[in-house]
Amino acid sequence: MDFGLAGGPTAASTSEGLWHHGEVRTLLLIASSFAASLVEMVEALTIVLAVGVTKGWRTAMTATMTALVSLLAIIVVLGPLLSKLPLPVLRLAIGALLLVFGLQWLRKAILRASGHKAQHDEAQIFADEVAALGDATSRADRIDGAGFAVAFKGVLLEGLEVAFIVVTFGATQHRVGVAALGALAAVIVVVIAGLALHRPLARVPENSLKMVVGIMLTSFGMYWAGEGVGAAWPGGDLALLGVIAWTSLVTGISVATLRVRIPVMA
Amino acid sequence: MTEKRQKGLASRFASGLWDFFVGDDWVLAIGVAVVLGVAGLISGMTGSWWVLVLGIPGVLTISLLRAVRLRR
Repeated sequence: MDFGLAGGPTAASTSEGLWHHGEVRTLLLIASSFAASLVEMVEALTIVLAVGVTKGWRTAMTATMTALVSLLAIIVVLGPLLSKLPLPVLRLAIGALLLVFGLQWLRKAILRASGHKAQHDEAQIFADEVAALGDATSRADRIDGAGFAVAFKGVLLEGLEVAFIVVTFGATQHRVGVAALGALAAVIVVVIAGLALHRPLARVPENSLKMVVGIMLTSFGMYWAGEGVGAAWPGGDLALLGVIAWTSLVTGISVATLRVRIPVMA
Repeated sequence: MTEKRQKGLASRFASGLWDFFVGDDWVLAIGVAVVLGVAGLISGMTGSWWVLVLGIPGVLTISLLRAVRLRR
């Protein structure tokens, strides 16, 4: 059984038990989309809250809605375009992009976990944003230009990463809807938490989540790019689980080595 | 729109694209391209999955060591 893309049997055709009806890959797809979206939405929420507190909620909400509509337009245009590309080209292009993207996340996560980069701190980022935006001098009934720009840019840029992950993950498996479900669940969780708390979600284990997402993006990227360049994976689709395990092992060894062998300079 | 403003917008757009896809370290992007190129070249002769399995962690290691060295 393959991912439903190749149109032919793979070496893993006999591994029905573990891979039956693609449950494992569906779960991986939803979990990856959820985790990636959760991290990005938490970051976007921090910026929107900072703008809301300093420049008024009308500015923050208008900018957020405008950015979300822009994102929707990008997804609506990009999604169908991607599905029209020939399969090998799609696999190679998306695999390469996922790899570059995933390695960026993984690099930052490893440096943070080993103490070579400051941990991501939403409370500190919120305080910095509020200080940068200045006093709450804007009237609540009008839209503040600077506040709008900050909130719009924050939601659009963080949202673009989510859109990229959802569209690429989904497109390679012809399951954009499944990937979008994971992202939607994350958006709902963050919006409800944000409305309830009215402060940054500092308790979300962002740094750990980023590491997990980095591992998933890199593993999926390696697998798809490999398929795209004609590398025949041993075990067919089951090789993806091996690639995830291998990437996790490399990540753990990297963190331990950087932490022990290369101490942080004061 | 003046020519200067157009150039500024184009420059910011290019910079945004670079940040989005290449990020903090260009070595990652170049390394991925090289590993995929090698894997593609030898895939006709032999199974090249091992090039990815060894090459991608290698690229990550080089990038991490660069980051640590730059920081020190």
